[in-house]
Amino acid sequence: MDELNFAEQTAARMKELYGLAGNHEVIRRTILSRIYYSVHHLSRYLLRRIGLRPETWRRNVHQRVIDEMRRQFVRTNMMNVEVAAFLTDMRRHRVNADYQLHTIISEGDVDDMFEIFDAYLNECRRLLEVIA
Amino acid sequence: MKVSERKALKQRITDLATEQFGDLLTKIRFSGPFEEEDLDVDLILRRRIPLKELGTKLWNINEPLFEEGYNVLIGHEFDERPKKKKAKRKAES
Repeated sequence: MDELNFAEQTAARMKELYGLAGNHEVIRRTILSRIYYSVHHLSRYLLRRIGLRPETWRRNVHQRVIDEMRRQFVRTNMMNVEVAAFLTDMRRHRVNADYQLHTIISEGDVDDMFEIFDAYLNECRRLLEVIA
Repeated sequence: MKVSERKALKQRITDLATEQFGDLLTKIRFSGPFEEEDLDVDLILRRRIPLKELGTKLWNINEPLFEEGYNVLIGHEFDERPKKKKAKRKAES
């Protein structure tokens, strides 16, 4: 399974899970976390496609992926600015879901996550065609 | 990060967020760091706005902070849904 397929499959399965048990906060937290990791992997895949080697990075890997996406694709006008910030946004949602147990993760948060995930995924699909 | 630097960073983020979102911004919630970031930020927005507009505004906050060497995680939340639920609950009771 490649990273694009992984992201698509993750979103599809998480939407199913949300429909089945989205009324439970543990499920909502799990969905936010899984969705973020799928776009993290997809972003690493994009960086690998242009010759970078994220698998060799040892420190601050998540932030470095975000920074390199910015450098390699946004500043070169290959990726739309309005979508680029969503990777950080999704990471923030993931950190909130994984660490901040006293904040409420609402159904609205999950709906928003799916929405920005879809926008980011579509931009990555477009980018993959450009850099192919 | 020193307390004074953290305070200055919070103010910088508040200024940038206010500049971008204006009256849409109802609250800024600071927390963290939880991993390797300097600070975590949730921007609570009064109502839903188009995705492109949201993304651009978030970028306009993220980019200067990146240029200034900060590693800040900024997310957003809309506060319209809970209000609707509260209103619905009131109507039902």
